[in-house]
Amino acid sequence: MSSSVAIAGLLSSINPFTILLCALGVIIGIIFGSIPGLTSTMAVALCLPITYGMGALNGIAMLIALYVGGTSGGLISAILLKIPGTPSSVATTFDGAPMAEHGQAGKALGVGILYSFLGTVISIVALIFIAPQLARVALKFGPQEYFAICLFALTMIGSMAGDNIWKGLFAGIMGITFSLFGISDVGGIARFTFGSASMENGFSQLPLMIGLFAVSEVIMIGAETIDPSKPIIKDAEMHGFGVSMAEFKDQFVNFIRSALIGIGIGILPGIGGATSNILAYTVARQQSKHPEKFGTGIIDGLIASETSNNAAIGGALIPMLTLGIPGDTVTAILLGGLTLHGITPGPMLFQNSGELVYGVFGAFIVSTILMLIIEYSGIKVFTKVLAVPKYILLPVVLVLCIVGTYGTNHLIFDVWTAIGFGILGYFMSTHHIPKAPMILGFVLGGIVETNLVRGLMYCDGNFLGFFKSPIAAVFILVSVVVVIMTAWKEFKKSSKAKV
Amino acid sequence: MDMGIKKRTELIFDVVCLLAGVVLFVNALSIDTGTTMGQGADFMPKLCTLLWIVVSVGQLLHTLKTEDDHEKKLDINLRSFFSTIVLLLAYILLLPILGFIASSMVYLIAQMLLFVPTVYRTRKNIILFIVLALIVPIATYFLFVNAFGLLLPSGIIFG
Repeated sequence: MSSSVAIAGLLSSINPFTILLCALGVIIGIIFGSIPGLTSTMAVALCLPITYGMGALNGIAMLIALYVGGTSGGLISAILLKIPGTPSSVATTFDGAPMAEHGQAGKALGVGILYSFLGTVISIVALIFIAPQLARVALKFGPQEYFAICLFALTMIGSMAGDNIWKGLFAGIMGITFSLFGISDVGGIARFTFGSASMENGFSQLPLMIGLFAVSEVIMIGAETIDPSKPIIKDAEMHGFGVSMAEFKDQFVNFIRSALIGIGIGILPGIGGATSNILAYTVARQQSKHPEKFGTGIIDGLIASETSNNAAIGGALIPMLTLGIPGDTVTAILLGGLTLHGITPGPMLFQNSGELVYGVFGAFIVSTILMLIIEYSGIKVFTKVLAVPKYILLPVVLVLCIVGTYGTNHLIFDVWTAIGFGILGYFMSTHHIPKAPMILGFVLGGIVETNLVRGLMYCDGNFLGFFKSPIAAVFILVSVVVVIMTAWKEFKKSSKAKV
Repeated sequence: MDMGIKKRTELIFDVVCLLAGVVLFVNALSIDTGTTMGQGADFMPKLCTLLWIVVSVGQLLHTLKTEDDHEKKLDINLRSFFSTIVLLLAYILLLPILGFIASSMVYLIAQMLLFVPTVYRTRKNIILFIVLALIVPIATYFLFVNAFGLLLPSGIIFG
C-alpha cells in the first residue's frame, strides 16, 4: 500500500468539520468518563445513532474521540473523589487520590493527563506501524495462552497485598468466586443463584465497581466522626505539565513498560483497560526501588495506570481493524459502526479502504491532541470540585452513579448489586482489605475458567498439553515463580518478625 | 478476655468471612457438572470456595497473632452509619415506585441533611440543599434521557 494513500488519508482527517466532531466527541467522552457509573462504552453506544447520518470518516472519528475522552476522563474523579470514573482508572485512585489529599491535585491531574496522552501516542505508533504483524501474533493466542496470561495476571494479586498477604489473597478469591455466580459458560448450570431468577446473570462489573468505590465512600462519610471545623485542603498550583524533566527521565522506563503492557493487554480480545491499569500499577510497584511509597501519593503508580489504560485503546483497535475481532466492548461497537458505513475490517481492509483507515488514524491523533488540550484547560475547573463539601458532593455523585448503574442493563438488580457491594466495600476499607485484587479476580475469574476448560478440551484433558505452547508455558512458569517468590518473601517477613 | 475493640471486630469479621466461605462451599457441592466434556461447572466453584475457606482461616490465625492495642472506643458514628444505609436502601426501594426524579429528590435532601455537620446546618445551606435536590435529578434526567436516550426508572410521579 503506497505511502501517498497513507498521507492522503491522514490529511483527510484534518478538516474543520472532522476536527469539530472530534472535539465534541472528546468532551462528551470526558464527561462520561469522569462520572462514575458512566463509561466510554455507554457513550459510544449512545452516540452511535448520531453517526449514522455522517460520512464514514466523520462517524468513526467521533466514536474514536468518545473512546479517547472516555478512557482518559476516568482519572478526574479517580483523583478528585477517590472514585474511579471508569474501570480503567481503578489504579489511578491508589496514588492519585492521596496526592489530592495532600494538596497536589493539580499536579496529579497534570501528570495523569500528560501520560494518558503519551500512552495513547505510543499505541497509535504501534497501530500505524506494526498493526498487521502484532495481529498475526495475537491470532496465535488460543485458550492455553489466554489461560496462562490471565493466570499470571492473577498471581500479581499476591504482590498487591501490601502488608498482609492473607487479606490480599482473600480479596482476590472473593473476586474470582463472585465472578462464578450465575449461569455458567461451562455447562450452562446455575451456580450460587440461591433460587433467585435475578441472580442468573450473575453480578455485572460496573455495579460491582460502583458499589466498591462510590457507594462505600458514601457509607464511609456516614460513619465518619471527623471534626467538621478541620479545613479541607485546597489545591496547590501546578507548574507546566506537572512533571519536571528530571522526573520525566526518571519515570521513562515505567512509562514505556506500562505502555507496552497496555498495548499487549489491549490487543487480546476480552481483556482491556480495566485489567491493564491494575497490572501495570502492580508491575511498576514490584519493579520499583521504593515499593513502600506506592499508595502514599507518588507519581509512579499514577503514570503506570494512566499510560497503560490509554495505550490499551490503540491495542484494542489493532485486532479490530486488522482481523475484524474487537479487542473490547467499545471496539465491538466501533466494528458495528464501520460495518454500517460499508467497511469490512479484516486483512483486506488496508487494501480496500486504505485512505479511510489512515483517515481514522488521523482522527485518532487529532482526538488525542484535543484530549490533551481540553483536559489541561479544564484542570482549574476540575479542581474546584474539591472545594465542594463532601456532604453535598457525595450524595450528588451517588445519584449520578445510579444513572450509569441502572442505565447499562435497565435492571434494578444492578442497583441492588451496587448497594450490596457498597456495604462490603465499606467493611473492606475498615478492615484494610485491598479492593484491587478483588476487581482483578472478578474480571479475570470467568476468563480463566472458560479458557482452562477449553484448553483442556484441546489437550484431551491433559494439562501438560498446555506446555506445548511456548507462550503458555512461559507464562505458567512465570506464575509459579511469582507465587513461590511471594510465599518466600512472606516466610522471610514472618520469621524476621519472630526474631 | 481484655481484648481491644478493634481486634475484637477484626476477629468477628474474619469469622463471618469464614462462615460465608463454608456456606458457599456447601452450596457449591450441590452444583451439577453440566453438559460438558472435561471439567464441569462444579470445578471452579468447589476449588474457589475451598480456597476461600483456607485463606479465611489464614486471615483468622493472622489476626489472632497480631498485637492488641486494648483500645476500648470504636471510632465510628453508629447512628449516622446505619441511617446512611437505611437511606440508601430506601432510595433503591423507592426507585421503581416513584421513579428516578422523585426518589432522587427525596434521597438527596435526606442524605445531605444527614451528612452536614451541625455547625454548617444553617438556613442558607438548607435552602441550597433543597435547590440542589430539586435541580440535580431533573437536569440529570433531561440530559441523559432526552439528550442521550438512556432509560431511567419511571414511576408514578413525573413518569
